Amino acid sequence: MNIQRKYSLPNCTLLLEGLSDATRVTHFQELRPELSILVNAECYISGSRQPLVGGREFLESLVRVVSAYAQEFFSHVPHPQAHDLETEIVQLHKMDKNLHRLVVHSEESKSNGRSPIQIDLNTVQLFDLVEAVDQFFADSQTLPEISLKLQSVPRRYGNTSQALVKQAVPASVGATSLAAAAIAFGFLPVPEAPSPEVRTQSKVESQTNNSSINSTVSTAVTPTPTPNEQIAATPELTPSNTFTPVPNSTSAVNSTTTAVRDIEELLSTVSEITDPSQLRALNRQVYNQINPSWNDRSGLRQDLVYRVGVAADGAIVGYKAVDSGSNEAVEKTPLASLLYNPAQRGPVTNEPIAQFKVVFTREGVLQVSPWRGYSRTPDVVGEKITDPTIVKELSQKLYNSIDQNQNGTPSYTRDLKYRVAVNNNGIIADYEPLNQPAFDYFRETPLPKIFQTIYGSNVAAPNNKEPLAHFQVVFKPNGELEVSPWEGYR
Amino acid sequence: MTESIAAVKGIYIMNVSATVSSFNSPTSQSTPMILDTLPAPAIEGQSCPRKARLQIDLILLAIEALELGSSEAILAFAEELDLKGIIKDRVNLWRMRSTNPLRRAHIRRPLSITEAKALVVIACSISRRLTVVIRQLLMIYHQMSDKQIPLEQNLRLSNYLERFRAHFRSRMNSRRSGVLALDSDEKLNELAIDLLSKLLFCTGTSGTQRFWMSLFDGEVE
Repeated sequence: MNIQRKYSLPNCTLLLEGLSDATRVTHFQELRPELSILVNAECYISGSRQPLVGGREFLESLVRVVSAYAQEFFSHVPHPQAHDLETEIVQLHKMDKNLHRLVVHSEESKSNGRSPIQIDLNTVQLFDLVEAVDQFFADSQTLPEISLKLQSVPRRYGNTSQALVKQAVPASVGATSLAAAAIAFGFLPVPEAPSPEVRTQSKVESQTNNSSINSTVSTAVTPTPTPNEQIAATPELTPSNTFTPVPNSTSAVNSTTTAVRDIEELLSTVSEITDPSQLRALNRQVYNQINPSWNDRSGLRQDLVYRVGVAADGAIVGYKAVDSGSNEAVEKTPLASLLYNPAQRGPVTNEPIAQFKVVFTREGVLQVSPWRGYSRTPDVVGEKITDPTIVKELSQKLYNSIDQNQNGTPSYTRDLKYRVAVNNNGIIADYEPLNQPAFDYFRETPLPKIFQTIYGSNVAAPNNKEPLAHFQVVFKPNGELEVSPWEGYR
Repeated sequence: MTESIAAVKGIYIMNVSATVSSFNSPTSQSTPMILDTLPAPAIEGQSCPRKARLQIDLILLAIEALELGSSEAILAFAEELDLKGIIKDRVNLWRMRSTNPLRRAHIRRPLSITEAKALVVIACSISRRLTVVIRQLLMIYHQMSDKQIPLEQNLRLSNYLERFRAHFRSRMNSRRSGVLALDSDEKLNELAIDLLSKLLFCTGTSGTQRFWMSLFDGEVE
């Protein structure tokens, strides 16, 4: 018997179709027979034209990720199951405190090479999605083996003392700093990812995973230590010889797994760089190392995503593919050739390491962002020009040079905000989008063109050695231009 | 065969409780049934961690900013939900809330798991009654921030924000680092909206359980 179940909220409708198990129904005439075999699941979100459609694997991923994300929404503590980028078909990323991006990698989109479906939800829409899922969980006549199983996120080693302030102040990582997070020219702000410790624990300790789910997803990439081993691996452990020599590029594919262990082992023995300002500066260094070396940008069958470990001097000390596709295609990236050479630089021993998420998109765009986002607003590093007279003069110069290069009618409807730095001579040394529209429409501003003219590349490294004056530059949809002194990230 | 499940909150509460109540310990006979829907967290001892004490008090503060006379409502719900044995009177309630470390009148007394459960159940019950208001305010907030209109321009929203800021400032100790960080109207508004969003999630079918379990995120072994 064909059965439909519908969980309907103002902004979200979850529609399940399936069959009842004939052997179990025959006992008596049930008013509401059990839907025990799922044939099709559809999720409609208001404002989005295309429904999210899939089978059981999709539904299980959806309810697992939505449930974990909802818990994270309450506590602001990263939930391991909300960010399992390696295995989940459905992903939810926090774009800013009131915007959540639902990404679905359908089987269909994988096979014919289309990009995943993305829907941005505001908090009320997110709640409706959570509620539809919870009503499904609570419905004992629909796939009764899938029900709500909540568990608090286990303690992460270290930094729990900071939890309070982070709780009281909802993370101020808004659109602004997200834009700052992804270096200038990516198109998608890259989501925050959980710590590796939490990630691996999820495989072991989570209750929401039921066995059928585990069987459908591949968990091969990450080695799964037992919880006890993890707790034992405190950052205080002295560094040992766990770091194996860096593989060379000829055996790139095989060596990835070595690098994988390296970065995880390294992180269990050395401290991690988390200072936002330092991360931001390193972020650029990483970008500027990889971008020029990535020559052949065609022929990627998927976005390639890596976790990359970077020492304080910007040296790439290890990387790890987040999924098997990225692992197989590592040869198409310059990562292996960019790994630091211990002969030239000396071995990594007890240095702190920063982690970045590096994405080589199918469209040929490189994206680099801190693996866990920024814990607070970063500051601009480097010496600054502060003399008010000079700053005023430079401000006028900057205004003129941008204004002269403006042409065309803007297609954007919201202000584009940038940080622009100039040197003593008024030459633009650096610029950075500060809000989402600035990120999306940077090509409509003269900034990349000016940059290109000066440096021959629109992504050249800022020279932080010389003192710079920083300004906030706003392009308004009506064509107006505003240049004001920089007052820091907000 | 099509069935539609109404979006009325609370229908499935009993259903959920049924699945969770197997956590009952034999000693829980004296505690009210409704609290058994919330499993005991895997933490040491019988008292709440700092973060949980803070969050519970703040969510109640948001409710108070949302609706005048909510402190009476808290006591009324305690009566209604048969939690009078735990939350006996106004003074008793005040002492529990003063376990929030940010309070001016912070009391160094533990908040027991049972007391915390009672406060969470009450907060979520009140939030369910306020579902419509909470949703509307959040919709207004989304619309206004999409259009970059200052929040003060909406009377209802600014009433809530203003009351929240006033409550927060009059009751929290401004010398505490957690409070120090919230030194501007803007930051307090952000906190108020964050709490309002959490209240929305509290109204859901499993909102109480979700809120409860999240209080111990990062605290359990």
